Order: sequence, then C-alpha cells, then structure tokens
Amino acid sequence: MKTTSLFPVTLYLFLLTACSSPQGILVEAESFSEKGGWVVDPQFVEQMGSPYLMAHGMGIPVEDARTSIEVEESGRYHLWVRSMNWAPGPWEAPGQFLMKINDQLFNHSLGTQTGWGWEKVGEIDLDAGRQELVLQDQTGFNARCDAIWMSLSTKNPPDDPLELELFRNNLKQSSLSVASDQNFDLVVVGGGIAGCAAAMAAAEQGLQVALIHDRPVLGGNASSEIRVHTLGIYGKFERILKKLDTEHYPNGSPEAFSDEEKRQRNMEGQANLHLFLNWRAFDTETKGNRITAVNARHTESGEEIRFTAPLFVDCTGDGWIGYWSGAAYFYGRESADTYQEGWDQYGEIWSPESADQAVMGASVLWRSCQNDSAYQFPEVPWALEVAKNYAADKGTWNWEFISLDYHQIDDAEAIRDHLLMAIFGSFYNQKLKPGKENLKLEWVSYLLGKRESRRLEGDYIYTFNDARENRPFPDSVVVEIREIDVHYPQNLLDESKPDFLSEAMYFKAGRYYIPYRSLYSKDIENLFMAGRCFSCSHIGLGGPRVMRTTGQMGAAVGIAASLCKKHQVNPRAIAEEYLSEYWELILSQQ
Amino acid sequence: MKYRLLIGLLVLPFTLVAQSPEEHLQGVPGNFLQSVQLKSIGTFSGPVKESSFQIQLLSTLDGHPLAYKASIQSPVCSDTLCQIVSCDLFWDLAGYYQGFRVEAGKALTKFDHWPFSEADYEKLHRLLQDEFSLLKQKNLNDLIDHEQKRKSQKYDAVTGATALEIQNSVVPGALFSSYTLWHLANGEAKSVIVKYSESHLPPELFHQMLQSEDPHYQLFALKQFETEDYSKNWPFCLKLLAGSTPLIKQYLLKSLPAELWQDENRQQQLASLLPALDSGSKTLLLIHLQDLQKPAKAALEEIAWHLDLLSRNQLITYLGLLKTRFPRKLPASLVEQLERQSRKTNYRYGNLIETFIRSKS
Repeated sequence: MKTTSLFPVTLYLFLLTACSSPQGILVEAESFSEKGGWVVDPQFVEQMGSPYLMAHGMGIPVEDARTSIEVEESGRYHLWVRSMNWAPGPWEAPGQFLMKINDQLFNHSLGTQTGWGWEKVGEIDLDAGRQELVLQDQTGFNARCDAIWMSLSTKNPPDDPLELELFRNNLKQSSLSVASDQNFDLVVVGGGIAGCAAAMAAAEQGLQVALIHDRPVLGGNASSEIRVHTLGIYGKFERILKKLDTEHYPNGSPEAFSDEEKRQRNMEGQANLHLFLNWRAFDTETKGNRITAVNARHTESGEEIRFTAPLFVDCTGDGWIGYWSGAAYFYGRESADTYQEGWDQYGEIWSPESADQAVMGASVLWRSCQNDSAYQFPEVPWALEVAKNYAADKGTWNWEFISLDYHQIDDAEAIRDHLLMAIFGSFYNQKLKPGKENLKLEWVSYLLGKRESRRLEGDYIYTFNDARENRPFPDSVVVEIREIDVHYPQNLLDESKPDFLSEAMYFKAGRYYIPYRSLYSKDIENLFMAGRCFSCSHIGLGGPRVMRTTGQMGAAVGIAASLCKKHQVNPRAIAEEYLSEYWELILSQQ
Repeated sequence: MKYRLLIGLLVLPFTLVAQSPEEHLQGVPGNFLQSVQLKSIGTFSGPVKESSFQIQLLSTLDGHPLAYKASIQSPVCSDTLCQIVSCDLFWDLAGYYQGFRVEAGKALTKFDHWPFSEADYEKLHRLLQDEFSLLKQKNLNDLIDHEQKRKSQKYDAVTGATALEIQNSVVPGALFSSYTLWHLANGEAKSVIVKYSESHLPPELFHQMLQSEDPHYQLFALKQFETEDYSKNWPFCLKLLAGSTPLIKQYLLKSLPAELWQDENRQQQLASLLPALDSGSKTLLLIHLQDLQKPAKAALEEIAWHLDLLSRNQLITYLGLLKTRFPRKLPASLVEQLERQSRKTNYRYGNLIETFIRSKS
C-alpha cells in the first residue's frame, strides 16, 4: 500500500502560507489554504519559476481564493503581485483579478502587465497578527497569480528570473526545514500511463517504488484532466495495462473519469508502490554517470523531498530527468538523410531535406453542450486574433498548435495560451450562429496534452525504418500494429487555414517492434526512460507515441528494473547478459 | 513559352469540358488526349492483391512531357461481390493526382449498380485530390468491420464520428470504388513518377515549373536545384518567398546556400520580404541572420520597420542580433526606429524594446 506523506504536507500548508524575512513576506499563491475556483497550475515551473493559481472559469469569474498569514511586525506594507497579461494587445487584458486584505479591496486590476512580472497593488497599514488575503477573479478568463510580496520597504522584488530564484530560495531557507530523504529501490518520475505501468510492474516484482507525479490524479494525457483515449495494443502486458488504460471514448469525453477511478484504485491498491501525487521533480543529483537522487517539491506547500534510489525511470514526457542529469537527447526533426526516413508520398512535410526544430504539437481538448436556457458568453476580442472567423463547438486531437517559433518545452505556456485563445474565439464565433443561444462551454482543459518534446538517446535509436521493415530484435519487448501517424500544421500548405489545426499523415506498417535498448539512456547508466521521451527519431515516434504502447514501454522497464536489483546491475546489462531471464520474466507475468 | 502554356493547362483546377454524353472527364481538359504520344515508364501496384498497372508518360508529338496516365482495370470487392472499375487516371509531372477519364459505356457504378451521377463524378474527383484522406489509414477490412458497427451502438459519438469520416471520404454508395481509386491515385504511383521525372525530364521544364503557380511544381523544381541554381534563379526565389505557400518559403529559406546568405544585398532583399513571410519563415530568416558573423546593417534596418509583425520570441531573437552586431552602440537610425516602434499605441512588446534600448544607452 502506498504511503504518501500526507502529514508533512498538511503541516506545511499551514506553515508555508507565507515565507517571512526581515525584508518582507512572500506568499506563494499555490499554497493558499482555500483555493475557491482557482486551480493550481504547475506546468511551467521551469520557465516562469513556480506553480501558480489560475482562474480557469471559461468566461465566468471563479470563486475567491483566500488564505491567512501571520504578520510579525506592524507597519505600512507595500504590496506586489506576480502575474501576467497572457494575451497582450489592443484590448482589455482577458485575465484580471483584484486583491483584498482583510476588508480592504485594492481596486487596481491585476494581470495587466505583459509577461510575468511584479505588479504593484498598493499599500496598507497592518497590525501584527493574523491577516486574510483574498484573490478576486474579475473575468473568468485565466487570470493568474504566482505570488504576493508584502514588504515594509518600497523596493521592488526582482523580475530577473535568476535573481527571483535566489530571492525565493533565500526566503524559503529561512522558513523551511531541510528537505527530507526517502530511499527506494526504484524512483519513477511522471504518472502518465508509461509511468504508472513502470511503477506497477516493478512493484509487482517486489521492488519498493516511488512514483512522483505533479498532478492530483494519475494518467497524464489519459487523465480526466486531459482526456485523450488510449490507443495501441497491449503486447505482452495486457494484464497490467488493462488496469490503467481507457475505453475508446471520444477524446475529451467525461467518460475519462470512470477509467481514472479504475486506474487510481489499481495503483493505490498495489503493494510496494508509494504514490507521491502533487509532487513535481525539479532537479537531479549525479555522481559520475549515475543519478543518485531526484529532488521534488510539493506543488502547493513547497515542501521538498530528496528521493534516492539505485535506479530511476524518466516518464516525464519532456525527458527532464535525463536532461538535468546531462543525458544526450534529441529535439526536432532530423533530415531525411539522417536515418533514411524519407517517404515520397509526403516528401518534405514527412521528413525534411534539412533538419529543423519543428515537432508535433500539443493539444488542449474542449467540448460544449446544450444548456437548458440561454447562455451568455462574453466578448473575447483578444481571442479573435488567433481564432479569426473560425467557429467550432468542440476541439479534439487536431486542435494542435505546431510552429517553428514555439518550443514545446520553453514556450509551453504560450502554446497553451494560444490554444485557449483559439478555443474561446472559435466558441464565441459559434455562438454568433443562429440557434446557438443555449450552447454552453462544458469543459476546457487547462493542461497541455503534449505529443513530442525531448527524446533521450538510448543504446538504440528507434526509427521509421524499424517499422517500415518490420525489423525484429532479440529484445523486442514492445510491439505495435498501429499506423505511424505524424502531424503537420494545416497552414503549412494553405496559409488561410487556422494555425491551431493540424493534419495527420499515416503510414501503415503492419507489426513493428521496439527494442529494450531504446528504453535506457546510453550515457546515464542507471536511467530508464518510457513514454514519448524514449530513444527514437521524430518519425520513429509517430507510431509508438500512443499510450498503450508507451504503457508497454513502462511495464517492460519496470520488470527490467527488478532484474537490475536482483543482479545488482545497470539497465544495459539486462540486454547484454540477462536477456533470456528477462524474457522469461516478461512471459511469466502475463 | 510553350512549356508555360502546357503547365498552365496541367494546373487547370476542376476543369470540366465538353465531352460525349457517356464519357466522364474530371480534372483534365477534353482535348488532353488528342495528338499525344505515350511511353511506358514503369508499373505500380494497387490495394487489391496482385493488381499491377502500367504508367505512361504523355507527351506532345514533338516530345514535350505533359502528364502521366495509367489505364485501370481493377476488381473492386466488398464482402459479397466484385465488380471491375475501368478508367484512366492522370497525374501531373510531380506525381500528384490530376484527374480521371471514364470511357463511354464503362460508367462507374455504385454498390447497387446504379451508375454514378455527374455529382458523384465531381465528388470522386475532389476526394481523389485529397492526398491526406482518411482512406489512407484504412484497410479494406476496416470499412466492413462488423465489430466496429456493434461498437457504434454503445459509443454513439465514436462510431458516429467514424461513420462521418468515411462518409466524407467516399462517394455515397460507392465505398469500395472510392477506396480502391483513392489508393491507386495516391499510392505507389507517385514514387514511380517522381523517380522518373527527376531523372528523365529536361532541365528547362524544371525552370518552367519554378515559374508556375502550382506549389507542387515549385517544390518539385526546387528539389532539383544544384547550389548554383539559387543565384541563377534569384528573382524567382524572391517571388516564391513573397507569394508561395509557407511550405515552399520554409523549404527555400532552409535550402539557400550559405554563400548567398553572406551577400549583404541579398540579406537586405530577404529581410525586406518579412511582411510577406509566414511565422515559421520569419523564424528561419532570423535564425539564418543569427548564424552570420556580421549580418548586414541594411537587413537589420529593414526588419526594424516591421517589428510589430514579429512574435515575442522573434523580437527577442532580433534584439539579440542587434546586441551581437552592435556590441557597443546602436546606430542612431536603428535607435530611432526602435523607439518609434516601442511608442506605438498598444504595441504589446514595447517593454522589451525599451529595456533593450536602456541596456544599450
């Protein structure tokens, strides 16, 4: 049974609401004790510095978020809020909010400054003692608040990202105890289907496994928060994957909840498996070519845990564990000549003559429904810049923003926001049509469903030709029959098309195989990877990127990890020395 | 000029011209097959097992290539019966489906043996033109998957969507004919044609393709370029950058030889096209300038006129370019342009420019 560290979290929620220092009080918005209708968004920590609170109301202002802090010193406090206008332009900022302290409402609208930065709220005289802070959403359109700074000094808090990190760390050090250490046989980072399968397979084999995931629910793209159905076959891992996968409901369907319940129940009931939900890894420690620890932080309380283990699995999708540890990785499209992946059928858009940074994009799924009565939707001039005159009442897989100008990791927040503009604008246009008076936005995800980003390099780089030639391997632990499916933006061939819609190219390859050697890092000797960050080319990813296939990868590395423990060896040795025993174990667990 | 006219004929969209009451012609002019010569260039296979078809190059009597053609006699089978589809398929010189001809007396028929209506022929032509059709990923068996049908009762929206997908990709009542013809028109034939065209068509023809308005031909011609062809065809390259599709613009910007990027005049000419470029091409332009040791001042000034057309990332790249190019002090002309831009009402990234100017002063 899992042993999530609930006690310290609760404790820290109280203690960490504010980090005090002689300079002032820093309140991290994500640690507010009552979040009202605001949601915690931890997706972009590496880019903007912290999880934040967001008012994702789909056009209807959400309930207030509130928390209490302890002020030690009376005086006149200067207040700042770190926020951003996420759709700057010649219109009112879409996401605006107000701040209130005790009974004093500051009428200065926040969320109006381009790019993340501190906005001055005002000044207030406070006595020592307990004070209540409140965030009031004004618009319902994704206002965001990262932190509040209250200081007796008039000096602005730093905007420069590095200075801000130092500023934060200094304040936290004065408020937090040292991170606790927890030791496991295997640490899996990322709770998508691949990560769940890796953790479950290893735990079944008796390993003590930690699964670190930055959301409250498991499943990643298959979760109720993103709602992509799982595709692909089960291979040798049907028993495990059926505990985790989804039915083939339409993408975006609330049927995702029932599959999520199943997944959550199965994972929580698994012996030896320790779930760390709402924990986000932020760093690794290495010694030579080995990872010795992964550091993770609670997405709300800020508490830190240092996870130590002899083996790690990177299921983060973005390959963060490998990246932080210095593992070799790929990003972008290889030239057709790199691995001879050209295909005349689609030529340049399939595999370009020269390499570039274009990769498949991320999606934000959404849906609408018929309300019983008329449903008003606000004017969204800021959204029409993206949506233009496109009208829609739902968005599925092909709502995908692909652009050479946007990096899937560095620009992830801008990509998400671009898709939100596309959605709100297209829905607004749909509402203008006759007979759509009752049409209501039912659900819009605020989490990106990513397809492709960093791919870590393993001993074997899986490519299109492995699928095209149906190449078998002695270590073919993953098998798939799904067509290879690579996307490109519709406006690449016709500029008049919306930039947020994609088109798919399909190659029917028949049965193809992925070797175990693509599932561990070539240079970080105790690192496995499973999921979209496995070792492959851009086109190679096109087939096995779906979740039953990535689940196969996860289960395969979970089982391999148990042999690593048994023989006290690294992942590579399983391919080189223990392959027959590995196969026996895989076949016997079915 | 002759080639230009010929190519013009090839790209006539949806041309439907006078034809005999029983003959059906889509996508190719009626007089297309008069006074031509045919030459076999290879074979390709279709989606039906062991079916193989000859491809012929159509040329004028004096040897100018026009298009490719294959005469199709293919069985089209459902789970209960087979019939023969008989027609001619045509491709342009770059291997893209162009049109079809159904001879008098050999009308295409639907599942229930009703002949195609004129609207059916027109729809078939449109479907065959869609090289990204969902039919690409379907096996013949997928179309008659009874399990899928059962599923549809359980998951309305799922199979409703699937049914809709197929409905939109086939002529109603002619599922299997549509499927077979789509795979013939958009399958292996393209590779055979491309290989032949690349090695056998006269170089002058590539030059004419470059001048055509058809992006397929433009890309095909560009793919044949040797390094020296870019400077020889520089005006056409600029024309493509100004007016073709994003795919062509990006391909061209990625392919331009390094020595052309070194030329300051050419840098300026490319930079002056910024307003005509798509987002990806703007990024590529800036990346190329970034790769130069010393990008031309005139090119950077050209871009400064259009800063409001740059995304945040692109603006940051551009300001980085200025910082590298002018490590000490910015030329007054650039400062003036930057200030003008940052002062524009509602310009969203004015703060980035102001910060940059401050850092340089």
